[in-house]
Amino acid sequence: MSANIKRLKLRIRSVESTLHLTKAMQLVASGKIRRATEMLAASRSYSDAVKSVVTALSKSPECAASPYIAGHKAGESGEKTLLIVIAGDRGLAGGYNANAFRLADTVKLSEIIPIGKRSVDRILSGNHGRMSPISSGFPTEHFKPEDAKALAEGICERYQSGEIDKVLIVSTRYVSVLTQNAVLAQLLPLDKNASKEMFSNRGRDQKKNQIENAAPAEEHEIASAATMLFEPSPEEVLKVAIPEYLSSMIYGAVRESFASEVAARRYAMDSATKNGIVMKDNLSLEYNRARQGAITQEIVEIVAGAGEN
Amino acid sequence: MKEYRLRISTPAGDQYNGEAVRLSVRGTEGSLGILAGHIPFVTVLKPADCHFILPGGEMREFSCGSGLLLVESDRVTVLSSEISMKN
Repeated sequence: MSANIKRLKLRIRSVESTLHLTKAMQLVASGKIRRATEMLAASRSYSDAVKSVVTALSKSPECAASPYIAGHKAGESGEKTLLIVIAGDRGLAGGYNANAFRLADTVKLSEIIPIGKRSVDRILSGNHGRMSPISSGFPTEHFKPEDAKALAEGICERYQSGEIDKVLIVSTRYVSVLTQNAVLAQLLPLDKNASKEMFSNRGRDQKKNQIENAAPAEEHEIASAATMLFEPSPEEVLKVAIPEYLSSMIYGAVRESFASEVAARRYAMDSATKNGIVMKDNLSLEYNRARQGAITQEIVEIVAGAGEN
Repeated sequence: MKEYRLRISTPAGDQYNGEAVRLSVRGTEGSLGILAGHIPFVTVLKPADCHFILPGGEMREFSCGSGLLLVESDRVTVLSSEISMKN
């Protein structure tokens, strides 16, 4: 009986220390959510403005022949797809990393740029694709606009030289504190019709975009390419706009994913804390019962012994 | 002078978002000033020290890296990943 009591006491202590951990992680994640959503809103307004310029350019007849819009002709070896996979730097965030990886596995790719420590580890550990030479394993939390710019310039160089034909990105769309969806989007060649649905949800939950907590970016739509004057020419503007567009889309996607990661972690740790409290209560009940049983048995033995004398 | 909405934006957030009466930047074809009522226009920006005038006449200076200038009927947006306000 005393061995059972000791075992229960140890388990209660173990659950208590896990509870400290989950509570601490929940608090850290809650603290980070506000800053993450602020950064997300800022990046969304910038990428929306750049996207509106690129959308107008993509409709201009002078730019129609550009490989960024018309695409490369598929070579003998087939389409060479570059996939950017954005996942978290740490685990313990519910299905956040797994959902992004599941979506990434559906793409037939030739090289991959992982962003986030988990994403890098996945490429290094298994047969999930060849690491792109321009990749250098960026963390998501401290991902800077300069990192996105360097990546965008590298991608443009490889795209122009024909080393890649298509650029896709897997990230997680932040819908609200409780909902985040893994999404797959095409960055290059530009899809004239898809620019507005760039981040339409294609994850497990096929819900339509409902941006709740993230401050909605200003609706920024250029009326028509025909009335817009491009100086010096649409082609020259496109040359500068494409790296800017790619870098803003990558940076925006990283900020979306990071906000989703902290929100998913907060939710996961909240559930873990609740489950831990229930488990601790059950164990305490069991412990008290066992202790009371031992005391009762001891009293019975003493009374029985006294009766014999 | 007539006012218009000016937004100076970077990926890390807006550096300025408010009214202005004139903006001076450097494009590929040379320096240009934007007043209210400019035709819809997009140009490539070159790195330079730029400034804009507030409705009260106060001048605000900023340094701008390469980027894009987007002029629409009622608003003007400066887009660059390297912008720092001087005052």
